[in-house]
Amino acid sequence: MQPTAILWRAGIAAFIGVILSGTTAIAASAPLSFQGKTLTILISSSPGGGTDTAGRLISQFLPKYLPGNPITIVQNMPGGGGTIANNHFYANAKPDGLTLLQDSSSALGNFTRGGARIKYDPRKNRPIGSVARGGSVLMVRKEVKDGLTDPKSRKLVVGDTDGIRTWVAMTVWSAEFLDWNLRWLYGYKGSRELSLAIRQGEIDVWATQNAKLIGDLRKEGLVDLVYQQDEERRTEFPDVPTFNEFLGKKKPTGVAWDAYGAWANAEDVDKFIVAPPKTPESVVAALREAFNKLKTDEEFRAQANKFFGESWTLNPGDKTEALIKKITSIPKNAQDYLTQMRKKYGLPVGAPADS
Amino acid sequence: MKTRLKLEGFLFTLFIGAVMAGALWVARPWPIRASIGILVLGSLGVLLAVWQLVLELRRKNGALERSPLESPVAEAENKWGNVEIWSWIVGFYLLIVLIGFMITVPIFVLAYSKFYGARWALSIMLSAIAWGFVYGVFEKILHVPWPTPLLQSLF
Amino acid sequence: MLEAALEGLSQILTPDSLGLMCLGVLLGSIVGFLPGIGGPSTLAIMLPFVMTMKDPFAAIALLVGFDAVGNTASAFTSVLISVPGSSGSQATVLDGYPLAKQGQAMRALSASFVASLVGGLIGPIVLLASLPFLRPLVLSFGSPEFFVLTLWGVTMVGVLSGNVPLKGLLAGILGIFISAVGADDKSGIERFTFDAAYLVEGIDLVIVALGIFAIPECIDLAARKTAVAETQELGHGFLEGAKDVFRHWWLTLRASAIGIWVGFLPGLGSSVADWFAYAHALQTEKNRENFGKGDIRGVIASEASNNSKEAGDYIPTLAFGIPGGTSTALILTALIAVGINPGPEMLTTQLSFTFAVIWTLTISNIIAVAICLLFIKPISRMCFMPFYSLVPLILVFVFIGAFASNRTSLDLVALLAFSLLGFMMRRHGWPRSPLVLGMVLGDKMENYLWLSYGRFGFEWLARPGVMILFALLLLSLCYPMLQDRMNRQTQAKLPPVNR
Repeated sequence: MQPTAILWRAGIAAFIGVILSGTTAIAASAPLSFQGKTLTILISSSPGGGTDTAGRLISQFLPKYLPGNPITIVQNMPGGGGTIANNHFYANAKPDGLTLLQDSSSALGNFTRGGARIKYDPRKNRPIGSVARGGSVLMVRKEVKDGLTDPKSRKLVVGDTDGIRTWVAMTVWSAEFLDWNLRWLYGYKGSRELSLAIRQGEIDVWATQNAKLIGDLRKEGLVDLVYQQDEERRTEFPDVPTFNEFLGKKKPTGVAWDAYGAWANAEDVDKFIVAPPKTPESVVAALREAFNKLKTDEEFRAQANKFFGESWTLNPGDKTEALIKKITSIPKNAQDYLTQMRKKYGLPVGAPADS
Repeated sequence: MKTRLKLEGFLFTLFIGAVMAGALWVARPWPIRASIGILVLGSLGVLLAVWQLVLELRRKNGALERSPLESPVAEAENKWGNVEIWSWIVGFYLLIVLIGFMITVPIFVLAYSKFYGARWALSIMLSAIAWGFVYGVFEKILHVPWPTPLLQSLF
Repeated sequence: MLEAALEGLSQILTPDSLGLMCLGVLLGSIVGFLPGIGGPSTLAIMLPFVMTMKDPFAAIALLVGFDAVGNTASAFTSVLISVPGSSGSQATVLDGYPLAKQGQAMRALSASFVASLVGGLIGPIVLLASLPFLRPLVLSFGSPEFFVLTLWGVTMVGVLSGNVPLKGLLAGILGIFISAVGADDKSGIERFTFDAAYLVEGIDLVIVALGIFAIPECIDLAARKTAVAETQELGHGFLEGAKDVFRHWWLTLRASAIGIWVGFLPGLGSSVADWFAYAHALQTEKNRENFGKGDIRGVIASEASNNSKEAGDYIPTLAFGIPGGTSTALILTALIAVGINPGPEMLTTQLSFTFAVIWTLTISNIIAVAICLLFIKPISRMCFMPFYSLVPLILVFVFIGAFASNRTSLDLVALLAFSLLGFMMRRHGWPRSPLVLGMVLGDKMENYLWLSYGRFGFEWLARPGVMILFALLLLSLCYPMLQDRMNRQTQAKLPPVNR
């Protein structure tokens, strides 16, 4: 080609380039607004549970703080323990900030266990924030409490739904490192059946996050509260030591403690809300900012207190992101140790059998 | 006609027996807690199915034994009675998958009622009611997330 | 105690509370009428609004009013088009629909509603009477006792099979297998899921019921090419139906009692009340031949029990703050939010709230039945609609109900599959009720067995509660046979009849 022709083409290209970058600059600096748009929050469970409650609560207050105050609707998409909603969200949600997913830590558990059904990667979602409810408090029937450390008495029965609740980790580590005299009975349908069972003496040991259930059992003089799961004592239970405190010098280190964390720490993130992968940073920032403002909203706090008790915390987006990363990247030796422990005490190892 | 029905019934019983056996097969590798119930019931099921098959083979061409709690089946006067309605049902389903609930519902109601003899006025009113119901309750109030119709996702 | 009762009543009767109660009743009736949309999803939507209410009595009026009536209006669709509007009205279809086909829809419906009223009134009365015994009562039922109860329920499969016990048993076993699909908590593995996320949480009862009961009847309608009512008259059954309930007052009472027990025992789930009552009627009533063909007693038993069960649901709720079902769990959350503290205080310092609940259960039932009775005539005309109007509407109704339940289109595939199964079963004389019963009770029974064995070894067999319940179970199985034998003896003694 002749030199002048090349110069011309280059000049035109440069000119177009300048105009394009100018336009994107203008677009980027145009104020982000949700006005007139509809924000959809997809919930990965059926109505009524903790995830649903968190999602609906957020859906009521988040739009207040988003520029343009969009209308918000909530859609439930239950199934597969969160898998269906996650698969759908990952494949279909447009990264424009108008569709969010309210999820819970069980989806992370499903992802780490893996399998043919898992068609999503939660690490690629953009977390906006999370609501972490208070940690579980372990209760033992007063009547039989001495049996915990007495190898001659019958083994005390720990009751659970499916044996993989995060608080069960505390009991397993107590059996291993505190020589507690325990066995596990799982298959109860839910908290309602478990709270009845502990009253009847069918089970001796149980834990729950629900402050009311704990308070009632304590008031009836039935149970002693032994320790609690969080790193700091909950405001409702200031006299109950944390598990860390309780272990004291007997607390294991290294891979034994990593394995405990692998199991127990999933609850740190609890109920989190995310935007789809590839959502532009400006949108994510706006959503995160709005979410953070919930912390200081009086009405939100009042409602949340009613639903979750007083010990919930709101984690901002970046902290939520860090927590999710931590939960989904457990080193192999910790995983193996965990599996070993579960097998040793007759608990399900958490991986679904392929049938 | 009767023999065909008898044969169909026999095959259905065979199918149930096969399901029982299938369940046994699938449950074999499971841990005992999960499998024992299935194994016990499945074995019982296979035995019962075989017994039922034998009974059906030995039954002379008498009336079909049915539970008194089940309503008598209308013998379809036209052979195609059942095939016809099933085609409509499956067609309804396929249309929902292809073009979505909101459009399919009025079309289906209109088509069916008109096909079997309703006047235009009635058909249109019925499809309007059906559509109104679906739209009002499920779209506006419950915000049901409609799945993407197949045709839409192809383009 | 009297002051608490009066205070509860006066607070419920304020114009605000009464208005909200009527609203709750209206919503609850509509939700009961529509298959697939259940109390829990609607309650979840109402919850945010209710939680901001200032008056706890108003909240009670609205929520309890909504919850208590879900099984009343559902009789409409069960009787008229054999589509169970709620899981509590499935057994109503068995005799209600045949009655509609015989042109006695009015009678069936008015019997349903009056039976619902009676059940709905007896429930709160029993609740009231048992207040002092609530806690020990609830505490005496542990996993072993629940196992025997669910086993008892499963034996009713036999009754529901009539004279084809083999097919009935097979249907029951199939139902149990269906209930086993999904994650199995007691072993930590998934059963029969074949790697499909859809199946992990199990197969929904609503889909199965719609597929097994509703669609095959609809197909029948389409194949016959007539209206539902094979005769031209609606019958003047309105008063007749009401009288029927009182004619069979002893059955009505027993059915109500059964309903309360089912509601009270958290382990049984609420979809069995109608089946238990129906099966009980089958086991204990004389002249059983007409059940399934349009015996009004089937309708009465089913509807009385599904209403009294609502009051039963509140027993563990009020005694311990433990909800008796999903709906009561949501209501509990709301009540806590407006300042009520379910638990021991409900029987002491908060007695007026307890009474408010009892009054609301009573009054809302009356209102709901009144509304239903008012609409009987116009809605019953559905029986005369030509099939080409009714069939497409039913199909739309059922399909959308199936979809809305869990918002997944795979439910429609399941619906088709179960419709085919129900169709074939009906065609070849396989009883369908045992399948549903097996499905509802199957995995519970398995669970309770494991919990009992896991906790007590074999000692659970020796528990007094267990032995009493076993005895009752055997009695209920033998009673029909004893009755038949006595009948035959009395007949043998009669002089021969000249025809």
